[in-house]
Amino acid sequence: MTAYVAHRLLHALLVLFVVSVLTFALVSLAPGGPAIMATMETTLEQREAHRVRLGLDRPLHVRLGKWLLSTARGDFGRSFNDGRPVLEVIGERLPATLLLGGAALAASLAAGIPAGVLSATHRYSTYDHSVTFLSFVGVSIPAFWLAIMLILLFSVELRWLPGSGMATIGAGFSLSDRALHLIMPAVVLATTALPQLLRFTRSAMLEVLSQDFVRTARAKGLSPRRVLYGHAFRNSLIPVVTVVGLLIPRLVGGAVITESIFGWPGMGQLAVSSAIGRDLPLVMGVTIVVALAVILTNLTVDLAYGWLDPRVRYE
Amino acid sequence: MRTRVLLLVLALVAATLGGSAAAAPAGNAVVYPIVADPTFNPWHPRAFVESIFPNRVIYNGLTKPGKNLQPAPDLAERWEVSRDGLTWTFFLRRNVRWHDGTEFTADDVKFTYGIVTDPKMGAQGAANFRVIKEIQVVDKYTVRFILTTPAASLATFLGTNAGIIPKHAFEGMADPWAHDAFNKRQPIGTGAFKVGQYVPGSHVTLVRHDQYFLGRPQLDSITFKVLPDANAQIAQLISGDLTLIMVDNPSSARALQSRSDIAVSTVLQTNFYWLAVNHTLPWLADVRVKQAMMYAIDRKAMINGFLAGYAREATGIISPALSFYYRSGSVKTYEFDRAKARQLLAEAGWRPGPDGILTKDGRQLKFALTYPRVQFFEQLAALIQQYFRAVGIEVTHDGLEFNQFVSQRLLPRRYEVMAGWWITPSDPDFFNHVHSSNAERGFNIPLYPGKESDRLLEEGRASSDPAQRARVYEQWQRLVAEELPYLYLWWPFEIRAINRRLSGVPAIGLRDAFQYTHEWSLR
Repeated sequence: MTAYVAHRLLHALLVLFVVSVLTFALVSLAPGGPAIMATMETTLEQREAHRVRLGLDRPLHVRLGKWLLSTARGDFGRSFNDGRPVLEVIGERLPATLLLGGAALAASLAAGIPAGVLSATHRYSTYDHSVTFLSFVGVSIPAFWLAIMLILLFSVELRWLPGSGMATIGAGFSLSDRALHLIMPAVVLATTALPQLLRFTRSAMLEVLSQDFVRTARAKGLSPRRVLYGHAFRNSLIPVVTVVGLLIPRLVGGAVITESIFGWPGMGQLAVSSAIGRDLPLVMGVTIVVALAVILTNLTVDLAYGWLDPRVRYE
Repeated sequence: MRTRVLLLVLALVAATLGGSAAAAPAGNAVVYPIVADPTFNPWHPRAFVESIFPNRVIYNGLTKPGKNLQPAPDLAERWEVSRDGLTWTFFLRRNVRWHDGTEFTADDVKFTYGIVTDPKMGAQGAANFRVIKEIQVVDKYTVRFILTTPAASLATFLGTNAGIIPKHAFEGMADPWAHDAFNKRQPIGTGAFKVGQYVPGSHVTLVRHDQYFLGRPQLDSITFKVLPDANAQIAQLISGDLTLIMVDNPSSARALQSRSDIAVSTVLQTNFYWLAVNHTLPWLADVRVKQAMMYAIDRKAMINGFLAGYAREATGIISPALSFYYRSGSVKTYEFDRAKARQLLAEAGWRPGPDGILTKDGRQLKFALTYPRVQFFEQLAALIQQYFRAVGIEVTHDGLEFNQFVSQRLLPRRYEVMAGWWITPSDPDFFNHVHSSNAERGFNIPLYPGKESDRLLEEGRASSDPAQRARVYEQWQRLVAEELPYLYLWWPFEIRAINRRLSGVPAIGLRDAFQYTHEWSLR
């Protein structure tokens, strides 16, 4: 097990290296230039001045080598456009994203899994059909539409919930205030994540329920409850954990549309604006964070398989 | 093990829920949306549109845009220009206090323009100040600018995104752009409000500067809230979370007009939208071809189509917003008229080919229209294509993402015809945009070489007497209406929607109006 984890972590370093080199090359070779050099008011002199200041006058491999060396030492450099340390900029955004993503994920898990199990045990019932229908609606609704509709209903008409930001401006911090601000954006994010969880739980559960060991458990005379939660449920979780493993990196990367509409200061907006602004150091920083999230989630998911199903062995 | 994991998770949750807890004063507060985190230094290369609004409140320039759009005194109480127009002396206001209590002096002016005129710094807007050769501190309250050539528009430029920054705050900083503590967190200005609380990605609250030199502001605070989505801005204006907004999409203005608590108004801007013909291509630079193109476009239909009527057909470059300089009666105008367009093209020697496209000397009248894929330019390009095809001109589309548009087409001047717009200071001086010396490196996008226009533009800068300038610019307006260095599309209206509780916002462009926040009040 330890050897397995060590091996995987070594592998992760290699993946990070490849991802870095590829992203660096792609962004550097993309047409255009850093936003500060590409406004309509930029004159040739200004462009030249910035090119030298940012070190863009040096060849690509030299810049890549420099970036790799300093990153290996934990220095991610400074943003091309606003000049601040990359880690500081990301540090401002990551907690907000983790909070929003975490809340959306928790809500999806809390509602999606029980609803999925119920769907499986009551297959083809009215409940199952309506849940299936709602799932398709949820997956299909565009986030920008749902978000604006929620704002119009709950902020403009009913005035129950704040329409944007993470906290009431000017008010001191309070948990309830933060929670109220969190509700709408988390619901919008969960609207697409929840149906996926629900559908996967449903089909995994159905498959497990038709297996021999479940029939044996029933034949032993165990209560349906016991059969369901003691035997079937845990075995049905493997595909569900896989889906969660796919959802987490997506949530860490941030949700651009939801963040823009709700004025949520997360990673999504940062990722998009840095890519549009050709802010290479910042794009690299965001890429590394998301790549790390993917690698670590994958590792955790793989380890979770073994915990869920002791037959899984790590070698 | 499990408890430890649980504790770790709890700690993380606590950390994410936490954040800045410092309270900013509520009460008499105005809230305005910005699209991204601001940079609190008007000269920082990164200070774009999101930074303009807070910086106009935090800082003062030597001048500011007057309510009649003529330059008015700000940190400079008055100024004198020498006979030859080369020496400008500014007499500074006394007893002006920076937000930290230090006194503002001529040294701060010299420091600021020292950075701006240093070509290695690449300061924002530096192109407007290229004429400054030297800055001399005469005494504590007098500063002198020595220019290379006369430039009457300097008085306007000194009041547009040209805040004076404090020398003492940058003491010991080799690179002013890397001074994060100032540029990104706690700037020091002389303006009516100072930074109270800044939460990156969320908002910045400016609080009243009680020692403001024009008197104690009436509002307690102005908050700039980061909210990039235009629809969310409208929703929040309606819910009362925002006090005023600038409406980007003209079709949304209608939705707001029906509300009794919100006042929607329009202001004519100095911005103008254009098509620029590449004048290094002689077959396109032919004035008859350019005039024919003007006649071929139904600008009224375009304005009513995708601008919901919120623009005025342009008759030239100088906008009617500059009422003192704008002349309409004597200039040539171009009403939509296909027959005239065809006739002019025929006079220029273009004959319809077998496929209907005009040809001359074996060349088809065909070009690529380069435009940025922002705002309504896709629709604009589609309509231009139809209008030109109707008179025998073939247009292909070359729409690009904005960054690419600028760095691959605009800066290297690689295009046949380009669509774009200029946001310009409130001055009739378009030397930077039209003079031939700015063709390769400045803002003369069409590469217009006109010598007569050059002469008039130089003359217009040489005199500081508005009446004399108005005479020169009248001639120039007549000339450029005939010669068409740019093909003029329209002057857009700025649409602003303001909660009726707020009063005192002057009826000038909102950017300029933010230089009058000390007069704003809430009821």
